[in-house]
Amino acid sequence: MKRVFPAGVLACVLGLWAGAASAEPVKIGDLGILADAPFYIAIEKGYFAAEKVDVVLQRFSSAAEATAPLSTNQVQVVGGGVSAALYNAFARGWAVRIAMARTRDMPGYSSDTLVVRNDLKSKTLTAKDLKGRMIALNTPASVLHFMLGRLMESEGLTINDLQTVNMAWPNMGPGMETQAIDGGTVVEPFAAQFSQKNISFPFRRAADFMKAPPLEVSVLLYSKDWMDKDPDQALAFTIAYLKGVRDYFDAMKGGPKRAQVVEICAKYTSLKDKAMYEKMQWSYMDPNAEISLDGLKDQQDWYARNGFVAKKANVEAMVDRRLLDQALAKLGRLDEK
Amino acid sequence: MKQVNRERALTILSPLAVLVLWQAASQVGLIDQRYVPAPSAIAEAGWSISVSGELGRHVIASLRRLAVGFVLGAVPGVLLGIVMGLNRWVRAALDPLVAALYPIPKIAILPLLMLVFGLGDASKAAAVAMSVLFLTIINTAAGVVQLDRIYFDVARNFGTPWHKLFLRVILPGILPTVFSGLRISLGVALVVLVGAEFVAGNSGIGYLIWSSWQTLVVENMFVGIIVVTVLGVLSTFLLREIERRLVPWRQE
Repeated sequence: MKRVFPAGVLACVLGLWAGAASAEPVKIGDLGILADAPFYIAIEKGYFAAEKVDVVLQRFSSAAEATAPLSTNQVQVVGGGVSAALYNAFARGWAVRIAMARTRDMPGYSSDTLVVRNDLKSKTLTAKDLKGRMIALNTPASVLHFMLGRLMESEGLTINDLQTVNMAWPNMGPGMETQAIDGGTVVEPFAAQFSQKNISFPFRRAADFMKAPPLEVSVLLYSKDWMDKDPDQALAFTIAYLKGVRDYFDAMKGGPKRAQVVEICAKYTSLKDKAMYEKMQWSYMDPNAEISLDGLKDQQDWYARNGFVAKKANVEAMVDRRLLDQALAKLGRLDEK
Repeated sequence: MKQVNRERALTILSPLAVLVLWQAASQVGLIDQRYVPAPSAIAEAGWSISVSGELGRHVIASLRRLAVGFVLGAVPGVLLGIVMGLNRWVRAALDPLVAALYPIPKIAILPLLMLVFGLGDASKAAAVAMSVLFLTIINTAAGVVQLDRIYFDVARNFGTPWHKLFLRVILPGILPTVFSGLRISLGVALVVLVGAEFVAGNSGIGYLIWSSWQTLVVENMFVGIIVVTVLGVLSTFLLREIERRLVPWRQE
């Protein structure tokens, strides 16, 4: 009894301490876009709660803005677009890792679109017809910039055959209406909204010309410090998140969960018009969140060739799929078909 | 004389000392170079984009917009300020408008300016002009109102025509206040310009800073920040030299 009692007290204290170590909520850097849907689904359907993970959403305006706090573990998870910033961050030694894939563009599920003004429709039949035109980009050296470059290269031209200007997506509509720009690289729902308002038409979607490898649009980034110091919480988060991804996948395919997922997305994102979800193309999410290393390498090569990445990063070292593998071992793999 | 030399030496040595300390702290790991590059890395990046011509292109674009916007805001600002200072009815009519429009953040209305003036230099120069206009009006009007009334009374008693009253009494009296307002306006103009170049564009120091952060080329971002500082110092110095020649009695 004399030995059991202190041991029991010690066990309680250690248990409480272990619990307290994971008691800090996971801060998710979200952008309020459709690609963040698995976060919102996992919150609303209790997947995080079931894994005993508390989460807090922290809104950012872009993934690049969120990468710095992610690298210092002020935020633990961010869904980030693949961009030159990601490779440069890794090359600088920032403590971030790609934990799993997030969105890519596939036929029928291609959100990344080059839209062109309606009045230019008859004059713009191929990429060569874009030569010299002013095209708006929301961010330099981003996945849409890469997509635009690849489109020009598919017809023997380069990105330098275009004039580009920075502009936020909402401003591209007025920009095209006043003919200040000839087109813009956008994501949904902007492509659908501009079409609906008769401002522009979708000239090319990424999946029309980027097939092998398909356009790897965004990935899920974890803080390396968090993965190393709290692997149990990170795994629990990953399991809950993957369940959210699979609900999104069902909705994306037109399955029974679609209405509920649309309801959740309308609640959390800026796209409140539920009818718009039926008019636009959804981004593709792999239900097993498999990362395409070829896609990541391909993009980095393009950024390096065009001067956005000075020192190339080791793409294999950027990816840490330990948690994904453990989550897939627990949940099993889902057939994409 | 020796004291003046010591003061000048301190003015030069103190920022140099900061740079040396920063470099040393970076080398020993007190400052994390992943987030705050060492001065040597920033200098290297600055040299690289200078040699390639990229930095020059951005500086020229910003200076062009700053110069055009500043003149477009300052000239009408001074003229309106004089009229408001001299005429109480004009002052009563325009004061509420100035008070209402002055606090509006010019970056907030930049999308509207872009719709009217387009994406190029004009919208950014317009944002600069608007920010300079109201500051200049307020300072100039205050300068006129503060002029001692006795000068007007004496001039009137001697039958001085209006144009001579303006050139010999009003203008010399308000110039010190006008230049104070112009120096403040210049700083604000730089802030507004850099912010405007964040929003829509493909050139300018603001674009360099914003795009460098978006691509996490942090050294280039610091180069842009330092260039803004240097532009601020040089333009203030230029304004002081112009003031020294136009308002020599202020130096005495």
